[in-house]
Amino acid sequence: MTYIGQLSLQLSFVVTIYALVCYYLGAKNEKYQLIKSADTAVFILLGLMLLTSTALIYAFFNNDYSIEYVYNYSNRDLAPFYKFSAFWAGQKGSLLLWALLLSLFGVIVLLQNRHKNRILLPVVMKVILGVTLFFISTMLFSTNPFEKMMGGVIPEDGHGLNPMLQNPGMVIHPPTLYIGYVGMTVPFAFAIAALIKEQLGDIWIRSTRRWTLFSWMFLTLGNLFGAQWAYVELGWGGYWAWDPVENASFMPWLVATAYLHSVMIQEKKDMLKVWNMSLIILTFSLTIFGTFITRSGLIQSVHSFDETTLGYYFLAFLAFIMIASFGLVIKRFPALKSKNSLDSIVSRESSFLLNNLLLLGIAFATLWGTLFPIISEAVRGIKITVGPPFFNQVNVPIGLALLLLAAICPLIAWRKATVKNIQKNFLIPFIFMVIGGGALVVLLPTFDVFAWLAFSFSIFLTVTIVIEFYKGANVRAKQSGKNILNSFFSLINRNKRRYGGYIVHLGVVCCFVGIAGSSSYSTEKTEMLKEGEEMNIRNYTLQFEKIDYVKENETKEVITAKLNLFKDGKVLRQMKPEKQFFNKQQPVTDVDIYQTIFEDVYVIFSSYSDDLKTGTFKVFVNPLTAWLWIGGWIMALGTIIAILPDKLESSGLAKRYNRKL
Amino acid sequence: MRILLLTFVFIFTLQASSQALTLKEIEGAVMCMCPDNCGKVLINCSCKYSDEYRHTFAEQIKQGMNKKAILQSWINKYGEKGLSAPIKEGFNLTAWIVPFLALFLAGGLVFTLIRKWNKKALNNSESMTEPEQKNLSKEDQDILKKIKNDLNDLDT
Repeated sequence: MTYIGQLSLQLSFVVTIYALVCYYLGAKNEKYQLIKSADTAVFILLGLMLLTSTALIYAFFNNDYSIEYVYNYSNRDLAPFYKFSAFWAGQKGSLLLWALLLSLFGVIVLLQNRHKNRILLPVVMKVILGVTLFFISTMLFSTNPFEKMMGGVIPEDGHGLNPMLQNPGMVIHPPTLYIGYVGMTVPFAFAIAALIKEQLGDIWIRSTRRWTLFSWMFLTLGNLFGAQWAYVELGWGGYWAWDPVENASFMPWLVATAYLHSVMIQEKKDMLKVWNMSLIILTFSLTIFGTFITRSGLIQSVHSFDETTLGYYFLAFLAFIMIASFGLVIKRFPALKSKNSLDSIVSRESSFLLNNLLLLGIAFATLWGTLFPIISEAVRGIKITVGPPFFNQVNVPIGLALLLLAAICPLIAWRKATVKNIQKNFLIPFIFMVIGGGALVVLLPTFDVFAWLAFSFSIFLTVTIVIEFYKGANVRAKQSGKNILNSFFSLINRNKRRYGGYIVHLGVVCCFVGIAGSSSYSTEKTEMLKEGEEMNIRNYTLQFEKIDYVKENETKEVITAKLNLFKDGKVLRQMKPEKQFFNKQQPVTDVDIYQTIFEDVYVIFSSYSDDLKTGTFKVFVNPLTAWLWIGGWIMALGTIIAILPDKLESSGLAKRYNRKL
Repeated sequence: MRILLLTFVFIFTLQASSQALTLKEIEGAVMCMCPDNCGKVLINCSCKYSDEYRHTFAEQIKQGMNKKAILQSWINKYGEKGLSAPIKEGFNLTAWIVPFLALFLAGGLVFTLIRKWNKKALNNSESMTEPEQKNLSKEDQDILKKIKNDLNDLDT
């Protein structure tokens, strides 16, 4: 099977080059047969990628330790679930996953565009195949997943999967993030095709709107799952540490968010063409930059794969993408320049530009902070660390401004906002914000200005959105004679893009509330307890019952502490934080969390005495953390609604095109 | 006047007491410099060496050392890399200033662009008055009507 995997990887390299050449010659000489042959090659490529991946998974399940990658990331005792996820635990597998997803997306793009975009499609496919070829080449010439063990030695057992990766969150997080990363290749490919073929209208944007939303949703979820994994697995009571690799996945998300907003101005006003092209190029480049950071070992990170050579392939590829893409933008600059203008300084369009500015401001600050250790070393010869205090101090104020803008934006009319219009729309949300903010000054346990602003702006944004829904549903109820609830759903159904977007913003509110609550009002306590002793934190009591030792298998031992959790004297449940020991690996602290919508009781089993009669426990009470996870899911739900086919959008488009004709 | 002065002194004393140096503050300002190179801020670290570092800091606080002195002793031992964020002085100041400077400059650019586009729109709208519009041919008036319709569609 290893041989088949290796062979299919080599064949996929040949097939990709064949498809690229066929698309080039077919489009150049207008030979339909060649393009058709290239289309077939794209399907074959997917088959070969599937075969290569299956061969690697088979090697994991078959404990084939003749393969170095299988040896490094698996062992005989590893649960089947994790044997499957070990596929993308290391860099070789993650590169293969990237190539597999890209070949799958290539096929989907081909099927979606069978009867449309025939001018753009050969170039789109060339870009997708070009990127796929790069990934296949890295595997063939640098980091082959089927590389044999040095000296042909076949070990009895594998080294095992990093215990921290043996968590359901880590099974879902990487593929979700990769789907988001890889998906961004599609809008990028369409943008490049539009530049090359001089089809600079909004066709490429409309053709890729769903792809962009789909990829953005997966980037959102990928980041969310990563944060959840860090929360339950890293055992420090938090979920986001501004690690360079976390930053690397956050930056494309920010730029893609800016792009999703600014394309609306191109669709409505035929403006910002250069800007939108630049944003999508930047988004894609940042996905490659993220991979470069992980692979280069240039910046210290808990996520690094510690291999340095591959990073330079990525750096070269990144440089090529940026030079070629922005070169094309410069070449087409005269045609991209907009002839339209803004009707007013105060308008929805202007607020979108401001939104872009703030999103890119956060992205830039994050990039700057991530790269500053290298800059410092180059300039002063001194390596420094840029960690959470920097990112929080710089990004929190900008983030709050963004939240306020998100609240104001829907209240400002498109084209031109009048003073009367602003006064009328702002009044109710503003009153709610003032009353709510005032109440919070009294209700909050301590006054934290950033948290207070986050809560107050969240009230403003929520009221704005609720009013938008209420107004729309009310009008529909009057028109149709149906009740308000029916009208509410029919309202969303009629304009999914608009109301899906509002739902996404509600998710953003939840996330801000969760972040503000958990980061500003967390309580922490560490105590050493003997059996039967208790500790108190806020209105919770933890009674230490005992410690159990279990040897699960030859390579895994688990020490579990049992504590009974009480609230106001009432028993809630038994908490079971653990310490897991794996052969040849670092011990893992597995926390236990009692989660409610209001707060989490987060128990870490720090240490224990030799006789297992005494344990040291670090306990956090983190308010509102669940809001962050719920917010993420609401954002995903809103995105799904916005992706769904929209009658109003189609009829509006048809109307516009008919008028044009 | 005396009461007012006393109130200020009381508030000042309260603030000063609430600003007493805590271990948490130091934990957030330094990196865990364990031999395993875990790369975490000490406050987020649960590795076996982290408690030893915490103990040292707690001792230093007990001895009455201030934050600056504690951090300086940490820098002397591990270099600036041992801090979780750049010090706000010298070249490191650029780390803190550049993001806001960039935002400010980009904001200025965006504002200039919006004003320029708005001026263009004002010029365009002033170039044709209502009576002039009435003098247009039937075909041109239809086109103008279609444009207005399109613009109205933007708001839906």
